[in-house]
This record gives sequence, C-alpha cells and structure tokens, in this order.
Amino acid sequence: MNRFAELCSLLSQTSNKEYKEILLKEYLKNTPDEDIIWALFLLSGKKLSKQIGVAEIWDILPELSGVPEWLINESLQISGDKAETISLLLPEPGTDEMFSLGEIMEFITELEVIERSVKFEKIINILGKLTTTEKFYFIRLIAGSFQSYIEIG
Amino acid sequence: MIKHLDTSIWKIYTHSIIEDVNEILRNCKMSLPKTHRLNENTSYKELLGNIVIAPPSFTGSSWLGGIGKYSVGYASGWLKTRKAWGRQSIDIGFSLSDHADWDGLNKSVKDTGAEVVYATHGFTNQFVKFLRAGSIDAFELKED
Repeated sequence: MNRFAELCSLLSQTSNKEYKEILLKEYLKNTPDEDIIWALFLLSGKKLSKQIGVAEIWDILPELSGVPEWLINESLQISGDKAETISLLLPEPGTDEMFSLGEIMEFITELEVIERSVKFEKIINILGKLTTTEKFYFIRLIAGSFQSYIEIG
Repeated sequence: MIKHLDTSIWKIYTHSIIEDVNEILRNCKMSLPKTHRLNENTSYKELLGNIVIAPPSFTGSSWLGGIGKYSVGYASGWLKTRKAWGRQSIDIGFSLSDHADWDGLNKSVKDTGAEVVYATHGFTNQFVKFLRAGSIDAFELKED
C-alpha cells in the first residue's frame, strides 16, 4: 500500500505527462503482479462502493488523535479536505507492520459483507497501522471517493 | 535540502544566495555535500542532468528563460497539504520546511520548561490558545 500511496501522491502532484509515465513505469517495474492488478484497476478509474463516509471518522477524530476539536477545525481551514486532515493529524503507526495493496484491497472487499459497527471498528483499527500517505488514500478508497491520477488513452 | 540528494549521481549547483549560506554553515563545522556556485559562465551543458538549488524567484529569472529543457522541483512545508500543490508552477513538490513544526515547537516549550511563551510569525493565535489550554502563559507578539 505504501508504494501505491506514494505513487498516487506523486502522480497527483504533477501534470507533466512525461513524469507520470516515468513514475508509473518505476512502480510497475518494482511491484509484484498481485499488487499491479489492483493498481491498474484503481488507476483506470474503476470506482469502489462506499463502505463508510469520511464524516464518520471525522466525528471521532478528537478522540483518535488527541487533538482538541477547535484545533482540528483550524487545521481543516488550512487543508480544506477532511480525509487529508484526518491523515495528517493521526499519529504515525507504532509498528513496522506493512500491508501490500493486495492485502488492503482484500480487506476492503471483505468489508462488503460485514455488519456496520464491526466494519467501522475494523477500519479504525487498520487506519492506525497505516502511514500518513497510506491513510489518505485508504480513506478515499473506503469512502468510494478515490480518484485516478492518469488519463487512459 | 542538499543533504537529501544523492551526490554519487548528480552534481549540485547552487545559486549565490544559497552558496553564501552554505559557506557560513561550513564555517560552523556543519558537513554539507560538495556544491558548485552558479555563475554567468556556467553553461547549460554543464548543468544538464544535474541539480540546481535556487530560491523560488529564480524560476522567473531571465537566465532560465534562455536555456533548454529543465524541470522544476519545489520544497516547502506547505506541500503537506494538497491545496498548495496547484499553487506553484512546478513539476514536482517536496514537503520539506525550514520552519519548526507543531511537535517541534511544543517539544521546545516543554524541554525549556518555559513558564511564559511569546509567539511570533505564523499561526500565533492558535499556538497561544493551545499553550494556554495547557496552563502555560502565552502571548502573541505582533510583528508590526
């Protein structure tokens, strides 16, 4: 997930097609097939269904981050994006546990059939194990608001 | 910033303003990678495939207008937020700041054991409010 999140982050920062191509080639060269399949699926613009809304995580952000609510709202003023503010305010993971894109996508696929309250708990739990950049794209994925950063064709 | 660069692949060229500061830092025994001061005789051929470190104003300079293909990277703490990404006409951004960050500021307050804190520059209002909530006497110092 980390490499895919970094790829998305870099792709979204540049409008230069030549760079996008280099970034994509680098990613594909060093990524196992099971992750490449998911990466291409997501970058081709395929939408995932919404598992939970960003607002649901937002509501418990003071508790999750330890940051007072007023300061969270101040931060949102600067960022302008709730998913980004959440990812920046939550602490970096304490463990070295890494998840591949394949594992994360499997996790998201399994959420479909899980009862709502358990689903939320599972999402919050895994969110705490992701890096800042991973958190941002993970939230976008589970909220069904992931955008592709490449143009096909 | 230059400490993050791989000098085994690229040579680092620096704008005079940057190199003046590098010299001061080296005089203070800070170890920095080798850099080459940019001057009017530096050719595009020399720079090709290498890195130039310059202040933001350099991207609008006439000197750059006269040379061939190049790409612009931009380093700023603001690039932590995606909102800032579209603001600069750059090819790639690096979120790297020359300011103290939130955690660093709070650590400094804690480590010094300061009883009164005066905040100046940046988000002073928010920082003062936060410190006061933590029972530290804090005030904003207005720059004007």
